[in-house]
Amino acid sequence: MSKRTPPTVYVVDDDASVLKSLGRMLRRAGFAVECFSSGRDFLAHPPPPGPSCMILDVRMPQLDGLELQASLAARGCPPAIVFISGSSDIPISVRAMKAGAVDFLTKPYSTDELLDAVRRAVARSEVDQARHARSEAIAGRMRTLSRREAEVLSQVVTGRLNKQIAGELGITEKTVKVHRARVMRKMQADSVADLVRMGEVLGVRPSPEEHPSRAPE
Amino acid sequence: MANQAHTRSTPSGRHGPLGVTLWGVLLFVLVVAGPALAAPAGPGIPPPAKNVLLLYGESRVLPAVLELDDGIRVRFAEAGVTAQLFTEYLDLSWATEPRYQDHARAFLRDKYGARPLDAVIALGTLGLRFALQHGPELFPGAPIVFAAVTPASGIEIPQGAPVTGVWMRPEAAATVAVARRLQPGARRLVVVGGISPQDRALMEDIRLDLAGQPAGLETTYLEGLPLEDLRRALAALRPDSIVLLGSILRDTGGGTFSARESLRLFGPVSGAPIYGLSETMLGHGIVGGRLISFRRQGAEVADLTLRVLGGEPAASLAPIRGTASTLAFDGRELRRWGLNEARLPPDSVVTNRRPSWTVYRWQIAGGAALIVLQAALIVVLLAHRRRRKRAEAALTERLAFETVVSDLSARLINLRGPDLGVGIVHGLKRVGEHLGVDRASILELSPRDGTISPMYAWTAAGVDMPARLDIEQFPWLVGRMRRGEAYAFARHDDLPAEAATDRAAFERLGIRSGVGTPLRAGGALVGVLTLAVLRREQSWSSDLIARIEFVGGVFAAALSNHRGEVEREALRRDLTHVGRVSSMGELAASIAHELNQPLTAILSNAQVAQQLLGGQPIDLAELREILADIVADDRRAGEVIRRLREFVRKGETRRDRVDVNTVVEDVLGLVRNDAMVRNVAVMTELAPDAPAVRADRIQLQQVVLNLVLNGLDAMRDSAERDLLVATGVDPAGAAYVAVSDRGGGIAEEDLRRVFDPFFTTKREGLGMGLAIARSLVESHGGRLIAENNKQGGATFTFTIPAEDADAA
Repeated sequence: MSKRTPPTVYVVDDDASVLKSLGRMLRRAGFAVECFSSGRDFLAHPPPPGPSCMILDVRMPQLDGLELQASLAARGCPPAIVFISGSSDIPISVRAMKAGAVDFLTKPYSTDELLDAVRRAVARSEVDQARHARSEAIAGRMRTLSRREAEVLSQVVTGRLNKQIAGELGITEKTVKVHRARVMRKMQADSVADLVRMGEVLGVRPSPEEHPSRAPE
Repeated sequence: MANQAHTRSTPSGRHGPLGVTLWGVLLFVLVVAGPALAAPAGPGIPPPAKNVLLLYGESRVLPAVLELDDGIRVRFAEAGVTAQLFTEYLDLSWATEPRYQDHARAFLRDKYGARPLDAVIALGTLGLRFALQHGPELFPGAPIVFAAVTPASGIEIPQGAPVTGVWMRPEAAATVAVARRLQPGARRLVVVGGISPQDRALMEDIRLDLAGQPAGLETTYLEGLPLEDLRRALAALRPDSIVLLGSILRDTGGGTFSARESLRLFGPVSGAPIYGLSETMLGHGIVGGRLISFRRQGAEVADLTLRVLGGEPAASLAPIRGTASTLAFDGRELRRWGLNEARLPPDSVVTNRRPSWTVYRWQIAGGAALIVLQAALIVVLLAHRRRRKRAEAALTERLAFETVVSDLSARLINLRGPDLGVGIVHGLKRVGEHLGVDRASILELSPRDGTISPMYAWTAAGVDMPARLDIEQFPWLVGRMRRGEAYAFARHDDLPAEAATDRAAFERLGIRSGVGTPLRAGGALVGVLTLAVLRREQSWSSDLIARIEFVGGVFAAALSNHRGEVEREALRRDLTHVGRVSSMGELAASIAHELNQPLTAILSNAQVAQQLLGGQPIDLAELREILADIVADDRRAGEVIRRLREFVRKGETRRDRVDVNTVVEDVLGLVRNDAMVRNVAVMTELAPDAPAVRADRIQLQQVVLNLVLNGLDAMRDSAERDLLVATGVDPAGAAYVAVSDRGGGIAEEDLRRVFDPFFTTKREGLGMGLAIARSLVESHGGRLIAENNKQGGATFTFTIPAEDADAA
């Protein structure tokens, strides 16, 4: 929100009146708004890659809100979605929330309710955006590691000592230290804790099955 | 009951004299003509049933065949022989293909293989030839008796074979001799014939017969010319020619005919008189000749067959020669050609003679005698009639009343609604006037209000009708009515002691004589028919009371009909309403959504407007736009509510000019959202020329809604979900609406039942929707039908007659 350009909210609703009033309301609240009268229309003009914030009508012909949500999730980057629905259908709202929706509002909603939900969604999308950017960066650095370095990394993030790593990989403790230093440098990590967090972001973990008896003490 | 007796007495009472006259004439005819009619009956003991096959070589439509057949059957009937007569018409002149003969043989073998025949009557040259050739195989052991075969056919009867028959001898020479008597100046003879085997055989016979003709005639044989050429040839003849017509079953043009057909074609254009050889041609364009009677041939072959059936071996019976032909002529043709009848041989028969006194003198004399006799009979009957007159007078009064009652009944039975009231009052008037009373009324007893009030009343001029009476003033009368008993009194003294209260009331009302009968329908008392006399005392015979009770029955039936009608209409209205409300229930979520959209937009627009008002400067342009949007959305919500309210309104049926396309659009507006949720694409094909109808808009909407909702339900489990609503004009000019779905269709056994009340295939359905829809459509004079689509799914179509058609 503190960025120079206002965040964009994508609105999809098949009802022209609702769509128009939503656009008006959101613009007045300082958002950039793009309106679509159907899910297909939206998919035909996709937003730039990365997280985004959307207001989605549940009931729409052909492609309904939940289907659109699922299809966006399948693309790998689920947007922060605020659903609006003409009916308070609990099973549908549960499905939507489980699939990661920020909120589920029933028409008619008040301006405050909606804007509040949209702000949360924008915040979520910004967090997602930052997380996405960071993981992209870490993944980029990770790709610079050699195979051995990557192996060492995966041992380090699980808290193994150099000695254990050396035994595990069948190399000398000194060699482990050299690899470890390179990994720290390439990954731009300040500390082992920092490296562990990066590993978490990328989901790097040794598989426990491989070392059943050598759990760290 | 009394009435039935009267009705029965009516015909004899009225038509008695006429009936007697007829019987008298019939008796006369029998006495005078009886001996002539009583033909001597054929004696003899009927032998056991025999199987006889009549095997015709030709088609059954030939006049000669019909005559033969008749001759045979009549003779068998006269002889009293119980024989089973089978007939086969082989049509061999016309069907000449060899394969046909094979089929015919196979057919006959199958048909008669298991049914031994006692005799085969082979008719015509081809029939006999076929019988001789295939008889041993097809009808083993059956003797063959033939007729209508000329010796010139060349058929040889094998020696000792069980074959006998009647030879037919066409008398060509004799005919030509007569023709020459009629046309002494004739110089040419033209003999005409066809090319079928039968035609040729006859022609051969003619040739042989004419061989001995005295010279002086230039003879030409025209055989097998195409009929059209023949027509031209005959038209070119001069009247000094004689045409002799043989048989033309087939010409070289491949046409097949009967002699009568060919005569019809060239008879009228022929330039010379045509003579024939068969009676079947007489009256169809030939002058005449010595003519063969096929009927007589039939009788003769039947006689011969009867002898064979009687045990005489066919082989021992030599074929006989048919009875001599008759000289017969057509009077019209004689006149046409200006031929002198006087030149005919004395034994000639002339048909179509011009009627003349001399010809019919005996018939005329007989007719005159009959008229004289009839006149005498009428005189006798008139005397008889006078005696009956008094009895009839008594009956007349009854009959007049019967007429009143039957008119009344006929009139009331067909009346409905407000017309019924008018009809009943008219009926009361007729009854009242007929019986000479002062008031005739139908009263309603209302125990709840404690009143007796007139439902329908007629009063004579100058007489009033009391508006409302207290039920307690008539305890005796009311008691009798409840028990279903009529009452009558000629004077107050006739009333029993227990009617003291009633008597006081009658006195107060000035009623001097009265009669009343309860009107009951279905066991319930629906009213009381009362007749009152104020100005004098009037007695009521038990006969009359019985008749008044009957009149009461007629009124009661009309009232209960009317009541049933009113109740049915109310029930239908309720049911219709229930149907609509329940469809609304199904649509509730959809309608809520339909309202929610504009309300949502209104709320958010209004809140934005509020914010705008808080700012400085106020953006008036934006504000104006927002308000315009709010108004538009409000209108939209209002429209939804209007449709809804109109739809669930419970009210009287109205008939307005309605456009079916608008009805469809209104309904689709209501279900649009529902269809969307169900993932159904709704398409329309609305014909701009669909005629306007005179209908209750709401009811039509209900029908369409019902069909559309059914269509949506039907596609619940379908892969393809398209609903098509089409309108148009059917061939009869009525407007139609068709709703087609792509669901599973309707099971064949359910197609007829879908409109039955409580028939449903849905889990949650009441099963009344379609029943109501059909009754609504039919109440508009239309039809609602269901059918399965070829490509799957079902189509429901209803028609409503066009408004113009209604007016016409």
